[in-house]
Amino acid sequence: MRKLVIVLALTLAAAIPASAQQINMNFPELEARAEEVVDITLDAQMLRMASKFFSGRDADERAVRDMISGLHGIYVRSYEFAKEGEYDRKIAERLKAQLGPTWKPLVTVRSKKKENVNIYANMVGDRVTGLVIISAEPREFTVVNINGPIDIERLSQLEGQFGIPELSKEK
Amino acid sequence: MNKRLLIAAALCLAITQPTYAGFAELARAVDAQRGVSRVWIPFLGIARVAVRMIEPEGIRDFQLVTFEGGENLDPRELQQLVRSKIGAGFMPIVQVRSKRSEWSFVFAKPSADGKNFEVIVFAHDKEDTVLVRVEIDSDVLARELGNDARGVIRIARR
Repeated sequence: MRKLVIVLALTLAAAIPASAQQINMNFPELEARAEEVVDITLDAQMLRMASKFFSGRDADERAVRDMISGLHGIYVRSYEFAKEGEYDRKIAERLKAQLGPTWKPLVTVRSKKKENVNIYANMVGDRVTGLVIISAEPREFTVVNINGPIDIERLSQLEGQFGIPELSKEK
Repeated sequence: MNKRLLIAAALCLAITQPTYAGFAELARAVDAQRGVSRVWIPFLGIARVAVRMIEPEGIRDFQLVTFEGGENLDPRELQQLVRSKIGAGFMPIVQVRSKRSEWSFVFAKPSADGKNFEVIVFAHDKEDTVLVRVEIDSDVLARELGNDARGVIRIARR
């Protein structure tokens, strides 16, 4: 009987979709030192509401509307510091350590003096069910977590909206 | 005579219009903070009546309270205060805290049928604090924004 309970519990745990994986995006040590903290939390209900404001006539807006209406959440944390070197850029490593084996690196940009950008996608089969963007600049640290099914080709439509940085424009 | 009657009726309406309990409680709680004093805005009640009657661009109702002072307020304490008084169902969607004593908290609550939503904005800087509640008909606002090509994208980028 006990074995059955354990097997049942393990089966249930395995059945939890990878997309529902919670990522801890609270960094109290950064919050204490940062000059400015921006925290954006848009859950599925808010995104469904927001999707109503994108008209179906314009192709760009239609693409954004279709994408955000299917998302489970968009979470952004951004910390801006007064001086360079006020935070440990290895914090990105700690964040990466939270990501499970289904998370695959999509983009990696490394720079000693400018920004490091890492984009990870949560792959379930061929589908992307989550995305984490980590941008570590000398004076700014930003994490974006987009939770839900994502069409990578349409992703650029979300840049510059809902607090998501415009990565394609950055050097 | 008719003109006077009309003005009196408008003033009565302004005074007797329903106040959203959570917002009033929140405003009182902010007002009770040390060094903070509420600023009276003349004719705001009449403006509110006009908004409730006209519903411009889907704005069904609004409330606005401003305060002076409060440069020594703690943003974390204030954030907790706002959260505890704001009422059930409100989600914190945007929170900006700055060491320069500038903070903004935006809370939103969609109605159960998804037709309306309420937004409460709390903005504070060294000199003053503004508390606003706006109730919006999302269908009308969506229609208004839809008339302006790329309107939402432009607003979302701000």
